[in-house]
Amino acid sequence: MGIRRAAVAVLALASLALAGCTATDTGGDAAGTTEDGALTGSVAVFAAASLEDSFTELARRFEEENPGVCVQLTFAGSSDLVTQLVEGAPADVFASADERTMATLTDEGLIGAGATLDFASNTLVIVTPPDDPGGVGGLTDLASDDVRTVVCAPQVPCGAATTVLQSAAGVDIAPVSEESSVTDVLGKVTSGEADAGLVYATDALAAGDAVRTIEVPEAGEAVNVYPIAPLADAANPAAARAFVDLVTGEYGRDVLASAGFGSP
Amino acid sequence: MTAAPIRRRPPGPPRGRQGAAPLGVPGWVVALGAVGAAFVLLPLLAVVLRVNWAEFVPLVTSRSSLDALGLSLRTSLTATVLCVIVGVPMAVMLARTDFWGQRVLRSLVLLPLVLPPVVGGIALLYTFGRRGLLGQSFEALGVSIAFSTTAVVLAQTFVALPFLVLSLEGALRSVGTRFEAVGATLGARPTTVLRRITLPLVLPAVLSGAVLSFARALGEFGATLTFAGSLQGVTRTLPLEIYLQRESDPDAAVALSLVLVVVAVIVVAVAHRVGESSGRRLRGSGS
Amino acid sequence: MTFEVDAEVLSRGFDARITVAEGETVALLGPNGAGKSTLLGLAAGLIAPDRGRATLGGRVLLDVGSSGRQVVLPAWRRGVSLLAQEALLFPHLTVRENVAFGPRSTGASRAEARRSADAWLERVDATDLARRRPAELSGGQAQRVAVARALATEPELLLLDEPLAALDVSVAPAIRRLLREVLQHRTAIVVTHDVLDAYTLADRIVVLEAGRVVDAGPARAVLDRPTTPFAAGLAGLNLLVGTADADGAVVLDDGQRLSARSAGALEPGAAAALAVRPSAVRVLALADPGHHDNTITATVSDVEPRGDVVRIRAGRIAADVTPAEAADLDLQPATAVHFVFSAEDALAYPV
Repeated sequence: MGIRRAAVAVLALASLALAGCTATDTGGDAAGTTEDGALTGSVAVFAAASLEDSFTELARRFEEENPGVCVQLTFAGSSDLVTQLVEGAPADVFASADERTMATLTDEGLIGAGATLDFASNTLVIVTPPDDPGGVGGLTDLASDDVRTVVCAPQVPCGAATTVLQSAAGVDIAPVSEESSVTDVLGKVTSGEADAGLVYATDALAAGDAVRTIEVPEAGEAVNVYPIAPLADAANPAAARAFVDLVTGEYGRDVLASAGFGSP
Repeated sequence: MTAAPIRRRPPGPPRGRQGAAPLGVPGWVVALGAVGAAFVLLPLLAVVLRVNWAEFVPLVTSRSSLDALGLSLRTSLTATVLCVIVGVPMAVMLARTDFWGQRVLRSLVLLPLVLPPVVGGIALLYTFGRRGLLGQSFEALGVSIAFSTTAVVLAQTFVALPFLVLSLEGALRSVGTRFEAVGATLGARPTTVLRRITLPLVLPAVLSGAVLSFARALGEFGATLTFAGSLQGVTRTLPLEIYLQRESDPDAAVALSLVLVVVAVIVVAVAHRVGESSGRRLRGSGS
Repeated sequence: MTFEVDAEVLSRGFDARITVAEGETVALLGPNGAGKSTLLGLAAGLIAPDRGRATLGGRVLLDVGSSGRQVVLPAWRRGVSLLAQEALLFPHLTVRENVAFGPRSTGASRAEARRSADAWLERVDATDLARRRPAELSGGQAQRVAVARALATEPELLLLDEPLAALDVSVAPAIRRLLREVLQHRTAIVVTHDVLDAYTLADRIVVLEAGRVVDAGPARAVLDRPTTPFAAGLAGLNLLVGTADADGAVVLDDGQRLSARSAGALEPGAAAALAVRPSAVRVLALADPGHHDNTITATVSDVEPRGDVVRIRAGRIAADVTPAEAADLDLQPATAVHFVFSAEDALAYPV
């Protein structure tokens, strides 16, 4: 176990070295506060892929407010991140796209009980290519065999939400593909391969003119809640705390809302 | 720190002067070689160590696992057959003819070897996809390739083809044209020469190339994900199943990974044996 | 089936015209790079010329550049078999399958091809090898089988590219005998470096040098009366070239006059050559002039032991002496000596 953790740490350090950080290093201990209470060091944030735009903006803001701190962002699927964290990847903050993955970390003891805060929510919408080849008007159209629908696989958070949405709306979608990530669903729609797809509202918003978006009335039944928490053994707990505060604070909400996230 | 030279076994039967000292291999070569071997073998060992043996059988015999394994084997076999059907003529064309742009063509044909599979998938999408170069015509004819098993086979063929072409072209060049010239002067037309001389001579390379292609097709992931999608029993091959299972059931992912590793090891072993035995047949060291 | 070729291959500096009469075997001699293999390639259809024409029994094998039409018959439609230095038996086929390959490829049924293969294997005395694989044959056995394979297609022209060169000296005679037998009444071209092959196998000799035919004629004529240093070297003769005088002697460039038996009419003033074998030339010390038909005084350039004789070279002439003589004369490079030979032993002829 020890050797494995060490190996993971070495790899993680190597990737940090490659990523680079512009903030001045205080030398020796990478984390902490100066005598006047200002934050220093670096803070490693692992966040779900759907948060990339919002968190990049929030990290910029955080570094502006705390000139001594360097934020290192890692984006990936929530499940991937959890796997990496369980294997010992060093992080200070984890923001997930669903509560289930966060629960894994709580169970593993990597996150303290009660440390988790819900900071955003995301709902599913229908996207179609702009010319709408399938003639999709709503969720019921996706049950038709003539409409090639792509969804997330039930094993991943957006797929779990899709399953909930289908039973809430009483619609049985026969997908032509169950993708492993919402990005893949979106890709199949923007490329015109699929007639329709179920993606998060934030993804639809980010895709802009590449897709036509249809709101689903029942979407409220399948809300994905995004939790965030500092890691129990964060190397820079003070900065981690501060970053979580920024995300859950007023500025964080504004940034997230403009990206299409709902309130938790 | 000088390491004693390691004695290398002379390749093949000893020949020439008797009592010649075996050539040594420098110790640092052995050391670096060992590091390289460990680099390949340790991750495999790590997978084996992570397998949840108590649950192994139910995990790999679940409906979705069997569907994925079956689909993988079917599509990989089909892709291998396609590779042989078009790859053998391609290799012959590259090795035996001389035409304008041949060097460029050779480089381009081998491109899938170095291309990230995702890029391959995107390229296939723009070719055979609904709005692709050829896909539009297919669509007009009522043939839809996207999201079908055909798409999986196409993606696998795309990435596996260079393996066959590469190994076969090399073999064709090293066999040379002398036997073919003899065949022609004996009155055999080009097709007869190809069928009765060229192909039998490079059969080991065809077989090992086909096995390599099969292995590559079996492991294909990126292009399939991008181009074919992922649906149980239709397009979700073993690598895609592993990728998906990892999200929810890491034990299943590890168990399936081991299955894939075992299949790969068997394939490599078969390729090796095939190469050896047909090589022996040509050298005639049998009875 | 008369074979005629007149072709030019620029990249190889080849430009030659050769005719092989029906049933005739021509030995093609020449130094390395003279164009012997190019000629075989042209005949077999493995090389295309820049210009040229070739016919075999009236059929046009190739016709390039002379008129409007371009004909290059592919190798498999020429009826020309090639037997190379190496047997090149197909390694994946048995001996019988190898021999049956030609008949089978030219339309014979399986049974016919097999019968023909067996007949040819018997002819080359290799019946007991029929089931073996080429890798299980010795060099001589393989070449026997290759002969059978080349002939089983009943070629109209047989090309042999140094067929004995790769063989052990112990088996070469047997294969040479076999070839002499099968080449009788067969139209064939044999490329060789071995003058014995030329004598035993060929009716006629063609000498190529630098892509050109420099000498041609019946074997004895070319080799007994060589006109080129190469042919003289092959025949193992000293070749001295000069001008004939009114008495039938040959006058060399430096004015030295040499007398010899004359063969053929020597035109006074015309170019003439004199051939004498090294064994007929004696070497004498400068102090021992004596009286001889021909004396050439020269400085030894090379002393080369050859078995029971020692070859003494001095520029254009060479002599074979016994080791005892060589020792008595203390022959070393830079020693000046007389080379003497009788007119009876030398042959003068027009070139």
